[in-house]
Amino acid sequence: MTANSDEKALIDQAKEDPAAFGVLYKRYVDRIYNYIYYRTGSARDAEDLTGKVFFKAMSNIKGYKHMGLPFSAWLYRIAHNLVANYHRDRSRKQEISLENLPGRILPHNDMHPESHVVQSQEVDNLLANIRDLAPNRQELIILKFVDRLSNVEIGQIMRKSEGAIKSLYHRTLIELREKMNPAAFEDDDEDSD
Amino acid sequence: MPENTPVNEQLLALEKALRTRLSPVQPSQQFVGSLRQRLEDSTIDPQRKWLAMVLLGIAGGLAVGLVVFLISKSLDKSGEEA
Repeated sequence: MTANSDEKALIDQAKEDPAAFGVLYKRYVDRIYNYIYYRTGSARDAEDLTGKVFFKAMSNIKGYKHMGLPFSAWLYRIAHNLVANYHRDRSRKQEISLENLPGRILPHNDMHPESHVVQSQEVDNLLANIRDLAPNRQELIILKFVDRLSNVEIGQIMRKSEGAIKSLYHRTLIELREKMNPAAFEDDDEDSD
Repeated sequence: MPENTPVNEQLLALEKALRTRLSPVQPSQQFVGSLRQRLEDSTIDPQRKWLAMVLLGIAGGLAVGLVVFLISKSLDKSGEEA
């Protein structure tokens, strides 16, 4: 409640003061970047689109109305739309499809030395299968496991009820399990225990 | 029900794999800093853009006025000659 009202005050301030927008930017840039990074599979494109998200947010913040949803939900919506346009443009250009780039989501040496995604065949396989899901299912997996959001928060971003998110999540897991070789994730019990 | 157990176990294992293997990545701090700088710089831009538009409008108006003036002058001249 306090965090919510604090955020509302900050948003009101950001409408007039760029420094306050800078605070919002700093608060959310990593999460938005991660979301886009996992949706596009490219650090360069993630940087480009993250920039677009915040420029768009800044130019539209005066029209932003606080409806009780977290500010991040608005940013994720902008990111979601930009990622959808990005994939549409790419499919129009008929460039290399994401499905054919299993390792591309992993950071390359010349891109992000600070990145710490585990470079393994299993991760490649897992990511390739995630990218093979429908966009809303990919979004759900990324929000849940990369951004570590709750079902309620995911529902706010995806404009669905908590129950609908639970149901979608269950169906997504089943689809992912069917796509994957069970041996690819059964080892995890041994790894983590 | 017994048939469901392996399925549920597989789903739990998959969930665990997702939790452990999908880790957040850290964007480059150079990118984060430069984007913040560009955002702050761009807040000045709308004012500059507005001023540039006004100046461009004035310059355009003067240019059009000059062209009209020159045309009318040349018309006057040709009228006098006739």
